[in-house]
Amino acid sequence: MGNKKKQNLQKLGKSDLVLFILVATMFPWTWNISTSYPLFFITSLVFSYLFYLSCFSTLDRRVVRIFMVASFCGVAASSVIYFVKPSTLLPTSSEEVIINKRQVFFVYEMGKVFSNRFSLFYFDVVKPVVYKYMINVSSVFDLASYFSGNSNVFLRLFFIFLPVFVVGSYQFLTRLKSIGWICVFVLVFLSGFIDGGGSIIFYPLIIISLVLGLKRALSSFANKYD
Amino acid sequence: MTKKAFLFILIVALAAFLRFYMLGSIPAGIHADEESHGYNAFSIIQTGKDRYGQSFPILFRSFGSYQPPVLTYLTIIPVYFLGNTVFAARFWDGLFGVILVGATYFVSTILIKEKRLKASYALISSLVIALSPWAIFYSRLTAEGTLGVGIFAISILCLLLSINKVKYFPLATFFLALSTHAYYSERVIAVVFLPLFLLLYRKNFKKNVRVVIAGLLVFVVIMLPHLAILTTGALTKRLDQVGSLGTFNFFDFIKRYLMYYSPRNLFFDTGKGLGRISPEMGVYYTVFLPLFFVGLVNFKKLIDRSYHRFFVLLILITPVSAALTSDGFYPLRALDLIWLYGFVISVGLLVFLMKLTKYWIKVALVFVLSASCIFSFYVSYFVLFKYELSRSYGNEYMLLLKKLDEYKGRSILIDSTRDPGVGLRYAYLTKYDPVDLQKQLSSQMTPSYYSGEVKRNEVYSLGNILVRPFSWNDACLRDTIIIGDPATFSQEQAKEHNLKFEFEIWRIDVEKSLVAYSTNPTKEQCSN
Repeated sequence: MGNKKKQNLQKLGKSDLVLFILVATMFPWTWNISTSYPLFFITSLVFSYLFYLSCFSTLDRRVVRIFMVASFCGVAASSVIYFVKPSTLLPTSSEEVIINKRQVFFVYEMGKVFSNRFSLFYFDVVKPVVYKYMINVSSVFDLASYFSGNSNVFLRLFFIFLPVFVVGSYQFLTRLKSIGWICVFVLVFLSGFIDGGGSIIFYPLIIISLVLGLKRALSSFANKYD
Repeated sequence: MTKKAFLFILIVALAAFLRFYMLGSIPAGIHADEESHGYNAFSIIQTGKDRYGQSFPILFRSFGSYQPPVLTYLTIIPVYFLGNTVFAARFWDGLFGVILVGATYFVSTILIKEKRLKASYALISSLVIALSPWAIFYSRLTAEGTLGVGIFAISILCLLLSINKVKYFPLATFFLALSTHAYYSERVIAVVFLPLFLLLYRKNFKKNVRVVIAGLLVFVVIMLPHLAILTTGALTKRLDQVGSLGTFNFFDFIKRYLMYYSPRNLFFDTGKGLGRISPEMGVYYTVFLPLFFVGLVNFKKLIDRSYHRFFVLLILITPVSAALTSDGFYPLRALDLIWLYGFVISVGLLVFLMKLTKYWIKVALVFVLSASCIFSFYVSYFVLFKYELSRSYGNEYMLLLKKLDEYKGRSILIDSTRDPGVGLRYAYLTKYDPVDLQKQLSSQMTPSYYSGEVKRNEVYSLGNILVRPFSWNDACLRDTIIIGDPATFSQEQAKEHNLKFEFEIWRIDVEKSLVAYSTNPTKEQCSN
């Protein structure tokens, strides 16, 4: 039974690339991404495949890692070109009204603790920027929006892939190596500078999660019926 | 006293402080649900009946709906001893918030696999729940949810114990059934979870069929009051109001169901509102997000294998009742699930601390983490929430009540169009005679108490104060002070109807919120 399992996995290993191409092209948003952001689309595809080979397969060789890092730089650079806008962190005029009003509440409650220049700088400048940054970051963690989001026109998966995505994400989290974590952190960091729809930056990671989930499902299926 | 016991007491004391500190004054007012529990408790103490004159109800009719009964009956105790105060109305939620921290500790000691980690994991879990925004926030207002999750947590503790010692099963079913009388969500969760739990652990219960039957009997007996009013419309009134059963769409249901698993909704701000947490605050702190992922990765490894199925089953079932409503993410309705996430986050923190070698670094890290959490919560809740959501808690009417002391001999009319809770708020805070109020509200008893047809706007006549929706005919009342919000009457309208300005009330968020005019009817305007 053990050998059979191994054989099945090897068979599936050969078809990884096919699986990647299938996953990367089967959703309607692939067309939108490839036409609107071609550089991001191509680098994402290359990066996701090399990332997969480096972190989740036996093909973890030095040369793969080097190319993976290079392609990741491409993803990061194209994200900066297309999506990143640091100015989104600056408060709008309506947000400034709220910040000014809140000063009154802080003075009432915190008195002198609030009135020194460090506190004023923190509450008037740092806190609002950090808050907007975190709100932007939050969009990449919005699981519901990947399947039904109204605001996110690019990333919308079919409901039927939900179990596959969940299983794949779990596999992704549990098997990720340190270099993979660094890539994830960089993408999360960049998403903070994208107004609202930062989840597009997770496109390569979504492909990997879906491939991992599909592979797991196919392997279980093959073991059951072989 | 052992170090472990000392730390546990310290955590419980911290939890109690965060839940009871300024409980009577923040939120800065009293919500309609809170005053309803408070006044019904007061009315039962005085007359044995609720404010409508119903003897010891199964569900309490209130503002167009029905409130679960456990909290009202429990509130009798603080109202009796502490009087008709805001603190008394909120007391049990605060206390159950502390009880939840204790229950979390004991549940954690059962869940964890390795003996040497039991105490550490239990202390970390109880600390996580003691500090979590959702746990503090909902413990500081009378929303029944904390009571529901508190009783549910005790039932989970007993169910976990019953897997190895079946004698705990009847106690578990007692608390599980009781939780259905504490909050709406548990009605669905308990009924779905119990049979599946028995199915999952059937091997453990096979040899003790008698105890299982006894437990099931306890469950059925406590559920009987629900059955008694099953067909009346009262039991499902709340679901009718907030639910989507009439226009049920499977994909919408899945969409709402998924919202409760989305890290965005759990660790980031999802907006203001009564069902949400305080401003700029998520259900859990954002800093807990990496711990959550670390916890997810290591959960299987650290938690006892025999409880994996139990935990997964709970995680899958607990958001169902919240997803059945038509609202988006509404944490109050999924507190049981949110509580369970605390165990995952705690695994993450435990794993993280285990990586550190020096003891003092661990202590310093936990201290810094706790301090930063408390600071974030202080800014969000004790400052921003206090002011920015003061309107939702009728802060202006609390200020008005003090002002009305100056107008004791005058007839007062307060417009309740936009806040139907004003009359009952004053009835509770002024200890208005329940017998008289029951007479006034007796017209609401037709159709019958549990009919499900409940009028939202009621007229309250409390001595010289009359509370009801305002109409311009009221400008013809003689020697009366009429009070309403800026939407009730503009300055031009007041001038047109010959009203004389008396005073205005500014809410603590520096918004003009109430204006008072005295009537001065003229023959031309009021001839009809």
